[in-house]
This record gives sequence, structure tokens and C-alpha cells, in this order.
Amino acid sequence: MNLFNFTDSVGWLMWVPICPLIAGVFLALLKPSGRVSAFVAIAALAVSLILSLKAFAMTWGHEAQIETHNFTWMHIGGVDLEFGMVLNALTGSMLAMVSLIGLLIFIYSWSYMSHDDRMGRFFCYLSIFMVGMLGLVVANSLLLFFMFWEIVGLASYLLIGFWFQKPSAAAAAKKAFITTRIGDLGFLIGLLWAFKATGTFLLFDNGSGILETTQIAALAASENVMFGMNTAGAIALFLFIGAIGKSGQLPLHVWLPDAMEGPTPVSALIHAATMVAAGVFLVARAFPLFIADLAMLEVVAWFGAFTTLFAALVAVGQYDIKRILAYSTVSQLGLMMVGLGAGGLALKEGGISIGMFHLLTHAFFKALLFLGAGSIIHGCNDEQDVRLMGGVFSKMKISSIAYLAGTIALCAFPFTSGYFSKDQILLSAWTASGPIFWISAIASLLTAFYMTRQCCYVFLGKYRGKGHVHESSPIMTVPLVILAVFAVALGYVSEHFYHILDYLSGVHVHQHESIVVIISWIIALGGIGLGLLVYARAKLGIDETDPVKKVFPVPYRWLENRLYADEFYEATAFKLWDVLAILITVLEAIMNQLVDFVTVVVRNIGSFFLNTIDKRVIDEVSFDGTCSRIYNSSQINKLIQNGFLQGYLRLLTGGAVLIGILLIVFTR
Amino acid sequence: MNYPQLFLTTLPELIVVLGMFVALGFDYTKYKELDPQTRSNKVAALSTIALMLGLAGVVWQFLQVTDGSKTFSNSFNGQVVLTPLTLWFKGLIFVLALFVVQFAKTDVPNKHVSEYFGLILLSTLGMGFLITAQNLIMLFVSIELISLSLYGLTAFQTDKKFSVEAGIKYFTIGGVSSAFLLFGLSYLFGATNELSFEGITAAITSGAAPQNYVLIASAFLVVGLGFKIAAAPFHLWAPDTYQCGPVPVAAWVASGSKIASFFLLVQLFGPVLETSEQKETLIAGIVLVSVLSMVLGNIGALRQSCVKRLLAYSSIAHAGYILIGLVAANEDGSISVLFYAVIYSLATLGAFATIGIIDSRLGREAQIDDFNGTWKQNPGLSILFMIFILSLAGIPPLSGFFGKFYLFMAAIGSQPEIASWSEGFYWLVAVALLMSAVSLFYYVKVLKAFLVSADTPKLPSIQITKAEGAGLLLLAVLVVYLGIYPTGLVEFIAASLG
Repeated sequence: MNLFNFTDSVGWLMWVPICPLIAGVFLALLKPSGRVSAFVAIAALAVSLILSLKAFAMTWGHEAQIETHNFTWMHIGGVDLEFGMVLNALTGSMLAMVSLIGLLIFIYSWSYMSHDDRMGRFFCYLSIFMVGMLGLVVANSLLLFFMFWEIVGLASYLLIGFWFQKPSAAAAAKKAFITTRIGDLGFLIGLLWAFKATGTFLLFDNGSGILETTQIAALAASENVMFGMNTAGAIALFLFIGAIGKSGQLPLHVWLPDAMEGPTPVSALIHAATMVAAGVFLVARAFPLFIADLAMLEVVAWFGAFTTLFAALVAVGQYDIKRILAYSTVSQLGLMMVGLGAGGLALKEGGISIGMFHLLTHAFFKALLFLGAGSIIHGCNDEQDVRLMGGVFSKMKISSIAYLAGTIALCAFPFTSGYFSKDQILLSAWTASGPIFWISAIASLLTAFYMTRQCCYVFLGKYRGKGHVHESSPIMTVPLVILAVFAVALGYVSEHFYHILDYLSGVHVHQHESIVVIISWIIALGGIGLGLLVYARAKLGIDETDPVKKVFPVPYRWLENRLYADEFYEATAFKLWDVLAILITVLEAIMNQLVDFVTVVVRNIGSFFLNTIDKRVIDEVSFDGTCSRIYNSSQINKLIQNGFLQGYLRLLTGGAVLIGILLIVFTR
Repeated sequence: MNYPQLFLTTLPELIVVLGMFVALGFDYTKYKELDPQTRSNKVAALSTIALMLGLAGVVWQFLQVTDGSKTFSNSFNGQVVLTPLTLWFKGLIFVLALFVVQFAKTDVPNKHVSEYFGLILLSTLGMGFLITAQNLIMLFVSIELISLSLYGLTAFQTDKKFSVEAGIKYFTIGGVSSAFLLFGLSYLFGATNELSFEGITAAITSGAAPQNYVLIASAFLVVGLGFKIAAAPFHLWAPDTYQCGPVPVAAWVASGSKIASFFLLVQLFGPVLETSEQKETLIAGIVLVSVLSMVLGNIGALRQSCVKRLLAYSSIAHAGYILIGLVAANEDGSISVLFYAVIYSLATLGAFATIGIIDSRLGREAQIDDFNGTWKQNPGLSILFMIFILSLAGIPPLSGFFGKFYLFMAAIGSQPEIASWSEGFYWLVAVALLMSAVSLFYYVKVLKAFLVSADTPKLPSIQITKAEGAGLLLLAVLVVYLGIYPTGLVEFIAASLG
């Protein structure tokens, strides 16, 4: 492995994750002051960004090309554990997005965390997080992918629980870690299965990697391995379980809204741009496995569709500004899954483009919304309840305009970036399956509705909270403005001037259906209009009832309670444990009686064993005996090493004679 | 004789010799009036520069040889052959010498400062020549160069009775061993009528050499080289030398000298073991030495309270482990021996250097009790020491674990047709594993004193110099790196051997 070769191979890609790793280790070991730590972390990520842009530039125009650099990490028994880096359009675009948004969030955190005396530690965690995220993007080995995936999991645990003195933050961190771990188990099974079936961990390896045609064909050849799927589909299913956990899909979404307990930049980093995107990225990376079994694509699409509708409904009933955004993220991730699943059904390999395009645009506008929310929360004296905000627009112009830019992009307002990417998803859903299309469409309508509702709460009317509202510092607002430009313009520019869809998957993607375009206009404008109609003139506040609640009190209460998903787990999984616990207690009581009886009988035998067998034979003679005999045998050493040179020489000669005797004995 | 070629071949050595004379000259004239510590710093700086330039020469030769643009093979009438492998190991010796110079400069035993460093440089040259030697004459001369320098270094603490005593013992036993070695070499020459390794190998493999004479020669070589690697029962000099000589010297004897000797062992015995019809016999001899070393070394270490003496016994035990790789008698075995020699030297140099730092600040020999609670006062030093000790104990993921793993795998894999536990080298590996378990006792005893002992710390907070700190940190990084990514080095050795 030549790490310093920057020209002809792609081994240098390893430096993309290594840069933040160096920064992280530096911060962990030397513990510099907060400002220095921020500077080091930002500088290291800037280097990563430059390398990422180089990778992006190298793939641009060479969509179908896949370059790899593999090396053997370890040779154990007859198995080579191979690692490697891969460079294709997926890597290039994802690297550029992750490191760019990461860098903006790092800069934003510099100001946001400046009052925290553990700022150095915060930047250390952030750097470690970027190591995992960038690493899994470049990884060309399922095992390496998994290792970085776990680093991401660990770093997110540390970041969500950064304010661990708050019990809710500590609980949320634990919940995130454990819930995603359930998914990781699926991923682990999937990768082991893939290794067993193909004998390699490498994804691309000059034709013999897991994702390349020969292996896929071999995997797809076996019929009905599990639930009527072929081996490729079965592996894909387990990988998808991993993706469900990481990307907060139903039914493992419960950790994501709670994870808002972390500092806001963390929410932006984890919940918008990177960590949750890792699951979607995994599906996109392993897409050849998914295409090999169409049933698997339908599974992906249906899971996505249910998630997107479910989360969009719940978001309507929330009052915490970050929680609304969290459910919106869950919903949008579901939409990405719809894009991958339905896109795969409609366009085969082109499905990657559909899902990934939305992932990229969403990363920008959702990061913008989270950072904007952070700025607003900061300005409103750390208040997160939208009912206690209001009238923010006139006090925080820059943040508000940036936030609105993110909002219209999320609502898929025509010609913003969200419009283009969501349009593609709806188009492929239209071709693939009617019900999925309508579910996605309703979810999109709800998206526009709840975002309008939120903006009405935050920006209109009079300020309802404590203290004064104030604009945030430029270090915080500059990243907002940059992200806002991307949120509005990215879709149009990349699709019309650069044909990003063709770039992402390397195949030509073109779909058009006038009726779908009309429907998506209706959805976006209708949702916003409906929201304005209901909320713009209504009296809002902590003491007022939400206008929707006035009309539909009962269903709205369900939404406020997040459709009882947590309660459902409490009632099922937790209750199951309770019942088991009672059963075990009863069993234990019975057992105790038995044991008491047996004890009396056994005690006598036991004391015999204790005194004779255990103490004598095992302790004194065997274990302790051996130990002390070994220990005492070092006495022999005193005999030999007596300090007299004559004795030493005698022994040396004696050894020579011994070898001579061996010589005579063994030579025949 | 081709003089320009000769010049280029011995360029690194010439640089170092020149540097040594410069250091001696300055020390006798310009620095004469200064106090010992300043002189020591200045001479050490000169030695460092000389070694670095020498190292640059080695690197240059390495690059030349690797890309094939130049060969140094026939220079010196074939006495010295430079291949990528020998150059790599020579470079390693120079690097280790650099570390030793850094550790040596804070505490020079007496006022003869430049002689101290001069002897270190001379022994470095000897080790470098020993690794590249391809001829029996050259081999013996380099071994004597190493040995005589090390005898002098061991006895250097002239104000301490024990140091001188250790030096004398080392010298006497070394003299006897040299006699054995020379006798063995002369038999080898007599049997094959060749002085160059190449010729000897050819004579042995073709069967032209009488097997019995080769065998007798090998038996004598086992004794002579067994002394160099401190394998039992030729180990008796080691505990005294390591304990009573200056600590950097002990570190140097345990690391640089060991690497050179094991390299020679692989080179000399490799062909004999792989081809000789009588290899069973020779293997029996080596197995005997190996088992004796493991048992005596580990058991001897159990009761030591002086940490240096403990490390001395542990080094005897390690010689036993390494010989297991030689027993495998195939290429895998040779690879594992060289790999283990490298990582063992790194870890043991680090451990000795740490002890040396503590000794010099304490002003006396450190006992295990002295380390109680060091963790609280010196967390950095404790972590580094922990890395070295755990690597010596063979705990994954440190390199010591993989070194042992490769050694044992090579021994078991050398007889693939044998499946039952009672045959082959399974029993030898079992003994080694058992002895590794015993060794944990004394390694952990030291660590326990460092980390968990609740008594009030005996040691004050220790200030270490930048050079020492950087040296220790670099060694620790190498120990960890070779544990996480051993494949690079292993593959390099394999490619160079094959």
C-alpha cells in the first residue's frame, strides 16, 4: 500500500478519512484549548474537502469508470482479509457533499460551542465522526465499510450524549446506540453471508468483487434461498436491515427524534447530511445486489413509502422546532428509499440516481434547516417550542430568509432543488406502482403543510417567549447563506446544465410524465396554501389550541403522541420483558424450593468435595500447587546463576557436550 | 580490486567512522574543558549526525538496489553483498543505534564521553557488516568487532565494581564462545572448501560436502551463536551484563546485537536445515536449546525484583521463542524469525530505555516496588511502558502477538502431513504457550506496580528530554503499527527471501 502515491492509483483516497483522524488523535492526546482544537479540526477537514473535490473532479465525465486500489490487510489461515478504496461517481459525489457540508457545520460549531468549556472534546468527537463517514464512502470492502459504519455509530453516540449531564441526552444517546445496533446486526449477518457466498469482502476487484457481474450472476442463480428470494436478494435484505437502523426507517425510527438532545450542529451533521444518509448510501452502494431480486426492490420501496407517510403525519402534531425537522428527516429518508426501490423497478441501475439525487439535495436543505433552527433557538434564548416563538422574521432577517429558503426547498416549491429531486422520485413511483405513488404524494403534501405550519408559528405574529430576540454572529450566519444558495439553486443547475442523474449512476436516465409534474405542482403549492389558510391568521400560542386540533381533536392527539410508536414498543417489547420477568420470578420460587431440598442432600457430599477434592486435589495439589511449584522452581536459577565464572563456563561446556551427545544419538 | 565500487559499498560505514573520529577529535581538544554533561550532549549530537548521514547512505544504497540501477554484489571480492533485505536490516540497526545514542546521552557513566559513543558507533558498524557479510572471514571479524565493543561498553562504569565484574564475565564467556564459533567455522570451511556463503550453500545442497563434518560444524555454531543470542545454557552472562552494565548498553545488547545475530542464524542455518539429510539431528539440538531457554528464562524471571534483571531473563525466554521459528526449517520459519527479531528489538529497546530513564532519575537500580503508582505522576511514560511490556507479553493487537503467532504457525505448518497432537512440533508450541502464560505473571507484576498499586507514588514526577520522549513515542508507534499492519513487513521479508 503506497499512501503517498497521489498520481496513478486511488490509494490516496485513504487520506480523506485519515486527515480528520490525525486531527482527532491530536485533539484527544494533546487536549489543546478550544480555539486551537476548532482550528485543527477545521483545517484537517479542509484538506479532506480539497481531496474530495479532486475525487469528484476525477469522476466527473467518467461516470461508468470504477477505479479501485486494494491491498491485503492481514493474512490469517487460508484467508486474505482485503481492504481497498473505490472511486466512482457515487464516491465522488458523496465525498464532495459530506466534506463540504461537514466543513460548514464545523465552522458553524466554532461559534455555536464557543461558550462550552469542553469544546476541544466536541471537535475531537466531530472529527472522529467524519473519519467514519468519509471512510465508509471510500471503502471498497464490506468489512471496511462495516468498521467505519461502527465508528459512525460510536461517534454519534458520543455526540448525541455530549451533554451527558442532562438525563434525557444520556438516555437518547443510549437509545440511538442500541436501536441502530439492532440494524447493525442485520448488516453483519448480510456481510458474513456475502463473504461465505463469494469468498471475498471486496466490492469491486477487476471482475471478481461482490458487486460485479460474475458474482451477482452466481448469487442470483440460486432460487428460493429465503422467503422466495435468491441469495443476492437475501444478502440485500440483511444489508437493508442495517440501512433501516441507520437511516431511521420504520420500525427502527424511534431513536432519531430523541437524538435531537445533542447540540444543534450535531443534529445537522447526524440527522441531515451524513449519518442517516449512510443507510441510503449503503443501499445505493450495494444496488446491484438489490436489482438482482426485484422482490427486494419492492420491499425497499414499501418500507420507504410507509415511513415517509408515517413520519409526515407525526410531524404535523409536533411543537418542538427540532423535533418537527427530525420527523421530516425520517419522512424524507423514506422518500429516498422509495426513490431507490421504485427507481430500481422502473429504471434498473438508474434507480441509484433517483435516490442519491434526493439524498444530495436533501443534505443541503436539511443541514440548512437544522443550522437555521439552531440559530433561531440561539436567538430566542434557547427556546425550542414553536408556540413560544413568533415574530422572529423581523428580528433575525438573515437567519429567517435562509430558513425560508430551506423550507421552500423541502416543500418542493417549483424550481428549488427539492422540487427536481422529489419530482424524479414521484415519476419513478408512478411507473413502478400506483399505491406507492399516491402514498408518497400525500406525504409530500403533508410535508408542505407542516413546514408552512411551522413557519407560521415561528415567523408570524408577535414574539411570545422570554427576553429579546437577537441575530446570531456572522460565523453562524455565513454557513447558512452558503447552504441557502445550494438549497435553492443546486437542483436546477445540476440537472439542467450538468445532467447529474446520468452522472450518478452512469446510465442515461430520462423520465417524463406531464400529469405527474402537474400533480407535484399541486402538491407543493396546495400544501403551502393549505398551511397558510389554516395558520396564517389563526391565534397561535402555548395557551391556544392548534387550529387543526380544533377540527380533528382525537386524531390530532394521536399525532401529538407520535402515533404511539414508543408506547407501542413499551406495550409490546417492554411488556414482554415484564411478563418474562414475572414468569422467571415464579419459576425461581419453585426452583428455590427444589434447590433447598437438593442443597441439604448435596451439602454433605459437597463438603466432602470441598474439603477433600477441591481444597486438597485442585487447589493445593493442582493449580496453586503447580503455580507455587513453578514459582519455587526458580530456585534452580540461584543454583545455576551463582555468580562464579567457573560454574558458568562449566555449564556452557556442558551444554556443548549435551548437543554433542544428541548428535551421536540422533545420527544414524 | 575495484576501488570506487568498494568506496560506494562501504559508504555508510565510512561516514560513521569519519564521524566517530571527528567526535573523538573534538572531545579531546575543543570540549576538553567543558563539564561532562555538556560534552556528552555535543558528542551525542555529532554521533547522531554521523549515524543519520550513514543512514542516508544506506537508504541511497537501498533505493539503488531496489530499482536495479546499481548492484553492489561483487565488491570487496564478494565479502559483502548488498540486497534489499540486508540493506533494510542494516538501516534498522542504524535507526536503533540512533535511539540508543539519544537514550545514552543523559547519563554517561564516566568522563570518557567520546569513547563511550565511539564504542557504540563501532558496534553499530560491526552489526551492519555482520548482516551484509557473505563470507566466513568477514563474518568472524564483524562478530569480534561487535563483541569487543560490547565488552568495553559493559565494563564502562569503572567506578562500579559490578559493572567491571559483568564486563569480565561477559568477556570470558564470550572468548570461550568465540573459540567454539571459530572451531565450527573452520570445520565448515574444511568440509566445503569454500569461504563464501554461496559456495558453502552450493556445496551442502549438492552433497559434495561430507554430511558429518557439516553437522559437527553446525553443532559448534549453535554453541557459538547461542551465546550471542543469549539462549540457554549459554545465557549465563546475560543477567549480569544487563543488570550491571549501563542501561543503554543493555538495551543495545538486547536489541541491535540480537537482530544481527538472528539474521546471521537464518542465513547460516537456513540452507543447512532446508537441505541437509541430517537436519533431524540439528533440529533436535536447536529444540533442546529452545526449550531450555524458554523454561530457564521464564522461570528465572519469576522471582526477580530488579526490573533490568527481569528483562534479561525475559530476553533469554524470547530467544527460545524465536528458535521455534528456526526449527520450522522452511521459508515461513525464516520470515517469522526475522519478523519477530525486529519487533522484539523495538519493544525491548523501548522497555530498557524507560527503565534507564527511571534509573538515572532515581540514581540507583529501580526495583519493581519503586514503580508503585507511577501512573499518577507520569501517565505518558506509564502508557508507553505498558505498550512495550504488553507487546513483549504477546497481547493483541500489539506486534508481539503477531510475532509469536507467525512463529508458532510456522512450526506447526512445517509438517503439514501431521495431524495428531502427539507428533510434530505441537508439543513444542504447547510448551511455548505454557511458558507464555507463565511469563504473563511477571510482566503483569511490573504493570500492576505501574498502574494499580494504591500506595503513594515513590517516584517523583519525571522530566524526560525531548529526544528521549520522541524516541520512546516513535518506538511505541512502531510497536503498535506493526501489530495493526504486520503484512507490509512480512511481505517485504518474504519477497526478499524468496
